[in-house]
Amino acid sequence: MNKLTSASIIALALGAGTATAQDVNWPSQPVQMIVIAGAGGGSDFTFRLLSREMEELIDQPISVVNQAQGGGVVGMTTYVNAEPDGYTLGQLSPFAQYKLLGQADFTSDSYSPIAMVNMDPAAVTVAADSEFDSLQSIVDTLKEDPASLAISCGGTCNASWDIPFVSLLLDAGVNVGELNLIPAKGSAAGLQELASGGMDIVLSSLPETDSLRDAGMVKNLAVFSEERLGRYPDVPTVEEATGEAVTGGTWRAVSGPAGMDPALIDRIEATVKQAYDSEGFQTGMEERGFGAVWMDSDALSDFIRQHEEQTQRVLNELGS
Amino acid sequence: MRLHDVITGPAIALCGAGLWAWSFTLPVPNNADFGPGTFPRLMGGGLALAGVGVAVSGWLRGRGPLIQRPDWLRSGPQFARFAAILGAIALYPLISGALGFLLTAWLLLFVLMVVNGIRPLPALGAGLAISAFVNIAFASILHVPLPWGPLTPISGYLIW
Amino acid sequence: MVTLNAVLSQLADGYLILVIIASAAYGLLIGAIPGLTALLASALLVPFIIFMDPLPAVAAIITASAMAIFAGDIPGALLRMPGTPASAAYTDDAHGLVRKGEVAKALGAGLIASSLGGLLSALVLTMAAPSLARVALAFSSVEYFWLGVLGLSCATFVAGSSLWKGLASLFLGLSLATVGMDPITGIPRFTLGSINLLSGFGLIPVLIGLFAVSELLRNATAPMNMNGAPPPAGPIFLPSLRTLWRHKVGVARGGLFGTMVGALPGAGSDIAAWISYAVARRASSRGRRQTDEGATERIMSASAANNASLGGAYIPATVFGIPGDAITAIVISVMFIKGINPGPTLFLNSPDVIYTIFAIFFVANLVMIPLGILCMRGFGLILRLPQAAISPVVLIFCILGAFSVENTLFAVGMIGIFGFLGYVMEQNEYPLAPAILGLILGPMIEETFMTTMLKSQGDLSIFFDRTIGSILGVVTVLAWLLAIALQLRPQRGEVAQAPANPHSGTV
Repeated sequence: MNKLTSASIIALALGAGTATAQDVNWPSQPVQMIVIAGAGGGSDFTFRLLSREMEELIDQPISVVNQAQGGGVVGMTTYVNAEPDGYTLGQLSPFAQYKLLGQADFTSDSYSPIAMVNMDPAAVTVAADSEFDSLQSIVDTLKEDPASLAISCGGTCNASWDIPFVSLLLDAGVNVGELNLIPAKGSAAGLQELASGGMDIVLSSLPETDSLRDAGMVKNLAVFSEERLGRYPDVPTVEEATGEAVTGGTWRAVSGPAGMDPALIDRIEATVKQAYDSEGFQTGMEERGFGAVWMDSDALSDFIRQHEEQTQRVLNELGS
Repeated sequence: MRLHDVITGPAIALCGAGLWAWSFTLPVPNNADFGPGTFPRLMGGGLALAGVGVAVSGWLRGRGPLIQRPDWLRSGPQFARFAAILGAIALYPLISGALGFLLTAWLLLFVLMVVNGIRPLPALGAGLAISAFVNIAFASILHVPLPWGPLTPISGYLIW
Repeated sequence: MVTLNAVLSQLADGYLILVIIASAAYGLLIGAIPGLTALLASALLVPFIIFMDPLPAVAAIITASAMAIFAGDIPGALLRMPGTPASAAYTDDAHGLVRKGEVAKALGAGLIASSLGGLLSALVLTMAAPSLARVALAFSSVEYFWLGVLGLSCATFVAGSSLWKGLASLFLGLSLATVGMDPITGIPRFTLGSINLLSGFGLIPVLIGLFAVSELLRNATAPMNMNGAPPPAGPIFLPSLRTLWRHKVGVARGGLFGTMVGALPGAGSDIAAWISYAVARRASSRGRRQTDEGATERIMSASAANNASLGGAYIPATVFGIPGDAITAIVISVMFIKGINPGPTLFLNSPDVIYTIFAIFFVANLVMIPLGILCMRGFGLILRLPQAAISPVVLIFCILGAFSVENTLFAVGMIGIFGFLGYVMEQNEYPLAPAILGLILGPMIEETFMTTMLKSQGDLSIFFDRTIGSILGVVTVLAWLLAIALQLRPQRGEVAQAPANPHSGTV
């Protein structure tokens, strides 16, 4: 074996070794981005769009891996338990309910939050011929008789869409323990129940109601955001409709396992920011109706703590 | 491994009863009559009933050996083939991370083919060819996240 | 209004045709390999089509999934390893025909039935999508519950020689389905603390284990065949046309059933194939018999339903953006991303786009015939290799398929466990198919039951309150009574049992 061969073998072996240490030459090998939802869905699209832009900035491919099992628990576990070397990143989305439901053990300390790229506020939708014309009338009805309406969570309950809604009702003094919250297999299923008369209210994001609203079968009453969404200027915010400033919904952020080097986090955050600002990402998100929202890693850290508190408060009241 | 119905029936009934009992450990939510335990209870009951049915119908049919010797215990090569399949499945999760898909699949294919009676040298070659083909098709082209093992540092060039 | 010219001119794009042919080949390949399914084929396609132009992107998935669903029948017939859960309904029938040497007949029948079922659903799609979508939306959880329970009664038709064993298998599947997060509260059930079981036992790994791996284990204990199997000889296409004519009613029925069931969001090709199989088993005089004719009738009916359900799933998808099954969920997302927003506005503002998509359905199901025949011949050629070499390769694909479902190694371990379970079950004459049915329908039945109960706050009468619901309810109860009565009747020549397990009694 000549010197060149032995040298390359040693280099290869060393390469395999050093990649596991805190790598300031990030990235020197492909990066795994774990998406906690299935292929073709909203999260998948967001992260593939982002990864494509990121790939052009770094020189390595970003391998998007879908691990949707357990409502996202398996995917999160994978990257939370990975080496904090920046080569396994993943999607951070509402997580506090996992621990409270006994599904997993994630706290805000389990992650190294890097950046938020998307937030989609929850919205309240009713059938087009429903007696309800405004969110306030719904709140009033529920105050009198919390169990009188069938409310679809637009997915699993104790999750992104129903938690802000319950939070609002808590603020308004409704006895939320008696609410009739019903899970569905995704917002589409919940909306179908709305259209068929099986439900009274559906909680979901606004874009998900586009098709049925255009068909004239449902109407949107309010959205849980600070300001009206550009795409839906006719839908009042919850604050406008009821006076309570409650926001919430789903959000998607890039994160790594806890214990990542701050310098590494900054480096990755900068790359994500550039990808976020790119035209490809912005137009892609806008066309799909997703809200492109930016939060850097410090703001995100605060945010996830707030999310934990809000979730805890709501779930305790709901009696889970 | 053939057992008489009077054995399999009660075994199943026991599983059903076990499920039924286990379902009582699940919490009951405060605002509904039915909870997480309802369906398991029903299914456990159904399973138990079916098990009893099998046992009774087996008993009524009467004759037949209680236990018959399993096929895979009949001869050495048969046992080897049987065990090799289960062994390969068990081994894959354990070694694929470290060795990567290419080497793991090559190794498993080689062992399985040889155990099946194929000569070692062709098995070695065929195993490599097939592993490489699958690796390229699924990991390089279709981007399935197969482990690269020792090839990880250069895997950037191997994903197209 | 959209003219045929407008649609044809859109179709005449060379790139589009290329994409269709490439995806067809891809879909056939993936579907034909035991262990890899149509859903996997679609999911793996997503990273590529997400950045393609809208029409080729949607065309790619439509074609690939249609091919893959059909191709799942091939390993089912030739190797007794169904490629998709839907094929599991008629695997025994098809394999039975193959063992008798009627390979070309079995495969050809399945091919032409699949193609026709798909064409039928494409026709329905084109003519009546908007109106049918409204009907589909009238289904609430009550109706779905009855549909699920009705589907369960199909288990008795594949129960084999013993109703009790069939029921045991069914309840086993139903019990396995309870593992995981409770559908209402999300509380983990029976997961023993493992996060990998939070979503329960995945349908695909269980299918791969129970059918494919157990078959490999069975083959391992028989003398290992060092020669290959003879390939499907003789012409496939023309005889299959004759077969089609003989079974035209069954195929038409399967196609319509499949379209309707597929149009119900959440009820996919699995359920469609099973119900169609059961109806062919009971309602048609031909389908009832244990003969080759009977088997062919059942295979064709179910195959047609299989493919038709894919088309049916696009009815609520294109009209309301509500996915009919997992594959269409992917397609809807892609459509949104590409700016083809499903909904009535799509039909009003850009009808040429939507009708071109429907036209692609026609093209895909027509292209299926020549490519399908090529695929079958190719498969036959591969089977000439010694079984000793093929079995290990099949195992690797089973491992790969199980891993790729959710990119978890846990699924790989599961195929070993379920493989052994399937082996033991078959040795003791417990049928496998009811277990799969239970696993498919269990979650749906529990969810719909629970949500209905939540909506009605514990009032059971809601199950017979709604019009469609009560009709379905009565039909279901009658179907169950009929099924059980027929099974308990003393065996006569014509009363069907599933074909005798070719491997049972191996001592």
